[in-house]
Amino acid sequence: MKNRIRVLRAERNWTQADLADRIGVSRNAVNSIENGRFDPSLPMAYRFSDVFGLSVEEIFPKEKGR
Amino acid sequence: MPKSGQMRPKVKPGVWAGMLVAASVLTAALMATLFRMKIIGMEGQGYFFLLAFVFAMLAMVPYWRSLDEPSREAHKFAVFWGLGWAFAFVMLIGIELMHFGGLRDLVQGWVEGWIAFSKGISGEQQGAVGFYLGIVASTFLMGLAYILVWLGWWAHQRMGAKAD
Repeated sequence: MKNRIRVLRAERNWTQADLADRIGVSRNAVNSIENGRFDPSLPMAYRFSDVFGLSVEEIFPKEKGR
Repeated sequence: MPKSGQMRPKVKPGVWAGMLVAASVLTAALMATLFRMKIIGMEGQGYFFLLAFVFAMLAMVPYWRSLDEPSREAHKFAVFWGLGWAFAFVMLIGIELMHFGGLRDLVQGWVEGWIAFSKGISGEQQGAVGFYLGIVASTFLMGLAYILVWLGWWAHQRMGAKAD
């Protein structure tokens, strides 16, 4: 699934470890999600939404044809 | 939905505790029944393994609760594709052993060799030893498959992944 986590994280000068601490998951988890290897559950997507202060769709934009 | 900290599993702690107590009681009841029916002996080692089993089960709970989503996904994937396929393979070997003489003779030779190597096993225990060795070999194969698939899952996650 496409996401803007890397960009949003860079805007805030957060490392993957910083973001992982805020979300409450491991750095590996953030890395897997950021690189599109793992799709987070809805509760975790909402955690990203809370942490970035954006809507879920702004972080995980809908892809064309899906 | 959780508001902070680690992502929580859907099962509440009270339910977990109830399930654990129920599992322990049921296991104990099953073991006691088997013991009363003289299907198993409960001398020393039996109690030790029962306790070890219960504590292993208990120890799994905090471990599982500490895992985040991808880590749990890795375990689920390994159970389905590693343990599941290895179990099917072990079943296939079991069927082969029952129906085809060549493989049966080969395995029987290994078991007899092991029995000859470990002195002090009486004739009446040899069948049980063969059964036990079968369980150990099956568990080893399934455990190995589980670990390999689990490592493969993580390797796939890391392929081409960019860190900070």
